[in-house]
Amino acid sequence: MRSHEPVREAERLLAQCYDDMRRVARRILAGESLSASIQPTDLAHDAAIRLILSNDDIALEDRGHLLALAARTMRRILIDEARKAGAAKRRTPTLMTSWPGSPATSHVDIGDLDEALEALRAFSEPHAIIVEMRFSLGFTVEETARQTGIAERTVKRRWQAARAWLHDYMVTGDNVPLE
Amino acid sequence: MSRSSEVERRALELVELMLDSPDDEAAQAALLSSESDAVRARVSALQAAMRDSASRLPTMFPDEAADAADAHPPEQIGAFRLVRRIGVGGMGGVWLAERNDGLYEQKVAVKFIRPGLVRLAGAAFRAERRILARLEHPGIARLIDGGVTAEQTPYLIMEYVDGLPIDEALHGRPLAEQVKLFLKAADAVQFAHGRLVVHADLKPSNIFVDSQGRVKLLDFGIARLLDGEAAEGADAQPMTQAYASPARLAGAPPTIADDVYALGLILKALASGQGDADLDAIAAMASDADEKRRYGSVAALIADLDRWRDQLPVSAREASLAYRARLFVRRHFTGVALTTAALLLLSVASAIAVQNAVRAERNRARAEQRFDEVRQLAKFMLYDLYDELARQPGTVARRAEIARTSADYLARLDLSAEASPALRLDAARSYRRLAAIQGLSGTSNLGRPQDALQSLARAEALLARGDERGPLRADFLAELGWVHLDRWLLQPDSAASARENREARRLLQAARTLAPRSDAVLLGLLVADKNDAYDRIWTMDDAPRAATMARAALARVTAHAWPDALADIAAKLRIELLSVLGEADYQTDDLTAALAAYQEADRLIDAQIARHGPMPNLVILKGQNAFDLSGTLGDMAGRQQEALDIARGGVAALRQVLEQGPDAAAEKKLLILYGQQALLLSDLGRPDQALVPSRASVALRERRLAAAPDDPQRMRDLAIGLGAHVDRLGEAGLAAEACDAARRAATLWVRIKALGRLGALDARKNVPRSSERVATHCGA
Repeated sequence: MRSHEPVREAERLLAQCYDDMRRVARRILAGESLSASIQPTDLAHDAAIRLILSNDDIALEDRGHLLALAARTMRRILIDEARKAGAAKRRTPTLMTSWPGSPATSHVDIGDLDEALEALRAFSEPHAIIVEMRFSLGFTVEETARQTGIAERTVKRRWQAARAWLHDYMVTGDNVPLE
Repeated sequence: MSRSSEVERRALELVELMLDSPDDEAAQAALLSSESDAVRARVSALQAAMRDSASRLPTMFPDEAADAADAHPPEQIGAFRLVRRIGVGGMGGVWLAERNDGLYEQKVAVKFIRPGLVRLAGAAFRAERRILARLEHPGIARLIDGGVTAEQTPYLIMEYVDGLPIDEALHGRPLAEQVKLFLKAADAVQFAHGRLVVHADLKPSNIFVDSQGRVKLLDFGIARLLDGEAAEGADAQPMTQAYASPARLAGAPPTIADDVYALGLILKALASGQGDADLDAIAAMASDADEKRRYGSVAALIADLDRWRDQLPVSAREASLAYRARLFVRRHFTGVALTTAALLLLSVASAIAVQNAVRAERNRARAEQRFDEVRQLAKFMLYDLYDELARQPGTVARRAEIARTSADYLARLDLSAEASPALRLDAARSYRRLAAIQGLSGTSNLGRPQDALQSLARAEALLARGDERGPLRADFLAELGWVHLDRWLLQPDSAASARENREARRLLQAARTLAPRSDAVLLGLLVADKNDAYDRIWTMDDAPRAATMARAALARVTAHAWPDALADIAAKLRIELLSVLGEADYQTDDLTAALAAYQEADRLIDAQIARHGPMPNLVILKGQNAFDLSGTLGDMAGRQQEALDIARGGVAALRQVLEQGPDAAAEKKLLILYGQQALLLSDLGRPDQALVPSRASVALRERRLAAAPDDPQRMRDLAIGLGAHVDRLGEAGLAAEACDAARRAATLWVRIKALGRLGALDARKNVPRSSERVATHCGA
């Protein structure tokens, strides 16, 4: 199979975006309390249409960028959905997930994660994109490198730094403790 | 204390840098020495977090420690032992090396720069390393490492490709396989262009094919970055004269166009002596000495080669595209939102593409990508989205919008520098689709035949331009033939239709000479046969001959195994041929044979509906056939009630389609069924009941003519409807109204004749009957 076919790039962009969004939808919804009311396919559809209808940012630099945006859009929908459905704080969905490569699963509150990622994006968009690719979309280092055109080595380092940053943020919040 | 963005950004940067030398505390301290306290505090917090998350959430990749190469003797570079020299690149020797650190087996190519060149071309060498670092592609030899030996000689460690230069590797393979491998190389080049890198020294010995058919580009030694980071001294580098473009030989800096040229020469060598006119034309265009006449991009070259390949029987891709489109459109994704979203996306992308297309060279690679995206998106909309919407009633207007937008975008792209014959063909096909939805009878349409004619004229103009060098290709000729077949639909029942069909046949036969095995061309010729048979009945009043012709064409279309992409068009042609056959039999008073033909058509339509669901186009066919069946049964003794039931069934199905939105083809079938219902009720001795469908029929015909007042076809529809209505009014004893209607019908026939659009059968039968009606109902 030819791995890069410019002629069908846009078609594949749409199709792959769709497949990846269903993948991330399944990831997000796995073991999640909302999974009874939202099907992964519907979540993916809603995200796709939001994405397509958003006026800004549709002329994306590369596929990595597009996919990261898709993942973010999906998370937003889920949070909106949870707010609509539950209202009460105790029903805010908890994202059950594992960091890539980790045998252990840990619970991350999806709202907290979104907040941390937004904070990271505000400081460094390139780091946030790597997190979306690796974490939300579940891409390997190699795949991430291919999608973004960034060297594997850089992806690895960036991912490690970003992960440490998120971990730190989720522990300490927006404020940095004075030493 | 709130986070400061400057501090956070810097801390992230430093943490990333320090990951390069995780155990070198001195280096880390040096990095931090000039940083502020705030930054240092954040760095140590992040490092703590990293240890924390690393123990609780271990990372999946081991550190790459052992690649420091400095301390090794020349026969050893890093983990690799040099085996033998395998070549001399533009700047120095290339060696085969093997990993000997015992970890695993690996062969690599180590490329050195000649010591004397370091000062002169060291920057270019470093640029190659940077360039390769951004080119991760299976078709480009991978950069594994790089550095400087103890003797201060820079080196690159590259993926070793165990294969042959492309010209040797292709020798003796079937042509299709050669083109396939060539396309892999072109893809890799296009990928580099997309990353703003021009190879600048493409030649067979830089494109290797290994024993498993993998293609790798080598030697980006004099590659150039297009986004400003030009390699110093690169222009002074040696290049291979035989594959250098005229512009390069004249001393111009390398551009995308030079890579296109070199690929063109390689393709030319591959195509030579194969006797394939299309492939020769593609190679000639790619290697045109005049840059302006060359393909604007490798993507455009690939697009044409893809088209060339598509002439081979490949249909799997189409099927999967359609399948994906269905997924995309399903459920709440249907309807207005999707159409709007797609149009919006297209317009945004297109604005960028068209803007970029006229920008400077250094943006050209990006512009090409956008260009292809827009083109693909337009095609996605025009084929997949459009086809999906066609499954649902009430989408005629939206489909027209999609077809118009796509066609206009494609036509605009055709004016840009990137245009290619393949694009022109796409644009022409878009206009044909647009024409169909605007007003080709027999399919769902907007009922605007004049617009349809205009769209067909645009398609024809695009096709007539061809590729602007040499005679038209087979696919252009065939498409022009189909334009004339479409036009035939807009003027049946007149002499003009015979002319269109003749022209269609001439073009399709010319295409057949060039592409004797093309299924699309054969199908076009059989459609022309069907048209001829139809004209035999209605224009030449020669039903017996028409029956013979229709039977012959039917046998051929039934016997042929059509590829999936054409199966539905072929099925429709069979149905239409049965319909023509039934009509011919009916005209020669062989009612039994006519009934059999119509019943066979009905079975075929039902089979199509079972396969695709009740698509509007199929319901319309069913409606037409219901009229034919009902009309035939109505003339058979004792079967009027059966005929009436069939007519009613047809009316109900068509009205269901029309309830979802306007559709001129459905209307047309509906009005003839109204007339049929009225006639049958009259035959059954229920003149008052007959007036209801009869009035509905006339009202609908009036409305249609009002929408296209100069359309002779609609004048004829109304004249015929009025004629029948006169008879129903007479039977019901409404004499004055009957006379009015008879006079109106007569006036319409006069207008049709004045326009030169009166068919022979109408002249022989319908016009005299119209005069008789005036005489009968308006008699003094």
